[in-house]
Amino acid sequence: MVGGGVSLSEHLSPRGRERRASLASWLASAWRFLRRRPLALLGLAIVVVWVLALLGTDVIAPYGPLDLDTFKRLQPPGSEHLMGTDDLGRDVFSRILHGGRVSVVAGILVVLAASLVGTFIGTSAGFFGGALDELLMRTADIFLAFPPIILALAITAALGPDLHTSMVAIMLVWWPQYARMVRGVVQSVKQNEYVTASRAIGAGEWRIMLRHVLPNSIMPVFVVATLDLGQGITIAAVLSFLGLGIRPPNPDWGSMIASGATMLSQWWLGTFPGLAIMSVVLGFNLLGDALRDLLDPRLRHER
Amino acid sequence: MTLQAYVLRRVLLLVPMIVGISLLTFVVSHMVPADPVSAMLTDKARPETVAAFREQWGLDRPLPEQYLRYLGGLLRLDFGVSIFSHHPVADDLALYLPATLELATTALLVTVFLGIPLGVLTAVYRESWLDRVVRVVSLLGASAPIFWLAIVGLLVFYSWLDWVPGPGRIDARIAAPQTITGLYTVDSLLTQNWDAFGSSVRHLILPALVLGGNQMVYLLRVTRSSVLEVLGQEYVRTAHAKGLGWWTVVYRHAVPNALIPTVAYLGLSYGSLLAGAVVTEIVFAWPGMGRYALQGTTRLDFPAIVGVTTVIAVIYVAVNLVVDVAQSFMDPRIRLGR
Repeated sequence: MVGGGVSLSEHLSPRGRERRASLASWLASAWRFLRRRPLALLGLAIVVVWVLALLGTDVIAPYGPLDLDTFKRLQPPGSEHLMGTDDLGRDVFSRILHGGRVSVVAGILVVLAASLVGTFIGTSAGFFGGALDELLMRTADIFLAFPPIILALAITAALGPDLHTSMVAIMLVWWPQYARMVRGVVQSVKQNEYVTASRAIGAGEWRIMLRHVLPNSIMPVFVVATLDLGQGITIAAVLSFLGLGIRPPNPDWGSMIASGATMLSQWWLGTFPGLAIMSVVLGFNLLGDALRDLLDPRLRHER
Repeated sequence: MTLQAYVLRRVLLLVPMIVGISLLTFVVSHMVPADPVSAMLTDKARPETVAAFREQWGLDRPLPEQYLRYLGGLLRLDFGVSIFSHHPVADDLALYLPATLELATTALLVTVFLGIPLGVLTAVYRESWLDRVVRVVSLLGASAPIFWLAIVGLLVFYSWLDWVPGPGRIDARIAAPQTITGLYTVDSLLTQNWDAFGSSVRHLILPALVLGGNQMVYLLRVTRSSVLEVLGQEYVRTAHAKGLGWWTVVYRHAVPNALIPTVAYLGLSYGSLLAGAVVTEIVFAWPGMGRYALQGTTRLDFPAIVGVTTVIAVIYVAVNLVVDVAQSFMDPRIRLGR
């Protein structure tokens, strides 16, 4: 079903990389892969458009995020203000672009941090086993006993609610998922003969873990982290929606939706930032699905 | 392992789990930069006042002693006194928990009764128009944040169409039913208070649909892929081969086996529903644990936060216990250890 994909995944697997596939042929097979998947292409397009829009915010946004126009308060969408204005006369479209820089970057950073910490802990637990494994995994179990948002709420409160502490809180509740997954992969990878072989020729344990086991266990992390990017953005937006994120007057998507919730008759206030979140998350979800099919055929399942 | 032995083992495993939960909530609430003393008292408070305050709340004791006191309190369902409401947290929770449970459980019904049939149908009629429509809707649904869906739902079905009542649990002009279970729908039924019943059901529809619909997307995916997998099994082919009708094969052979992963996923779902209820409550002004927890969070009311967090975690763990047991009942391989 996925001829192009399999060949590309071989190129990307450690064994395939030794074949030194040229960049051109890599791009060619990536294109072959994408061409068969309109949804993946759509996801890629959405993400590219957003990245360009957020990079070019200063050029694209017609107004500053904090520019007040008290004579044009609560204007519905129109030619002057594409997505209308809020209760202080600020341009919603411009605030979405500026807020996107906060929301998207926060979501990506959170996933990055959680996957790094989780990978480190999971690799140590899976590789060294024994008491360390037991300690780390039982700790992870405790974190997993809480619905993530509830625990993140409590931790954010404890750290003093603002954008950075809410990001730390999400990372703290998220690493166990990565740790648990990586531990499983590491446990099976370390059974491989090349690990026994390097031990036989006298490689140290840390060297084996970092040079042999970790690189061969990292691919699922990559796939899951891409799939999680959308969720990271969503959870960061949830905390900010609850008033635990960025401080006003600076915008981000969650807090913009929160202000829309209090003014239902001004439908554009909440609707557009929500569509922004939805489109970014959709883009990352589609891209993540494709990446999973591409990089790890074992994780591929009927959808 | 017999079923009884398996259940016993799983129940005993709850003990370290609950100790772990209490340890984590204790750490979160005690080893933090946010100091409840400075949150409660002004900067100008005299040292004696601060000392008296610390003594009153036991903050002057060594940490291990504070933990043991705290754990002892938890076991007696004593979460301390809310710093702001000045009521015991347990009383506050008894007031707010039923509202959250009512919302989350109704949403679970929506999830189950929409998600499972749709998952089975889309698997059986794979690549049909139904499958395609459901796939597009679930892709979009999985991408939209729940608090935003809640607001859009209010916008469309309350502000514009006026099909459902606005935020709240019951109309302002109707008195809440006499408290028996704390669930408005059940209490009003028990007391045959039809006005209250109608109103509370109408208020429940939209939040439960938003919350349950959001979770349904995931349950549907799990069910669909599981049914697809089972439909490819040999025994399904055998059932066909011996001449059984198509639907008989599906609901007698395929679906019961395919539902095992779905049941496992339900435990996870209920956790997400509880967490989602917290967020949904804010939009719908639903007087539940979520609003209580959020108020606690913004006011550094740690007894309240810890109470909510602990109760939700314990419910979550208990639901997963029930799910595990149900699963081992459905599939003996699980309790026999793979």
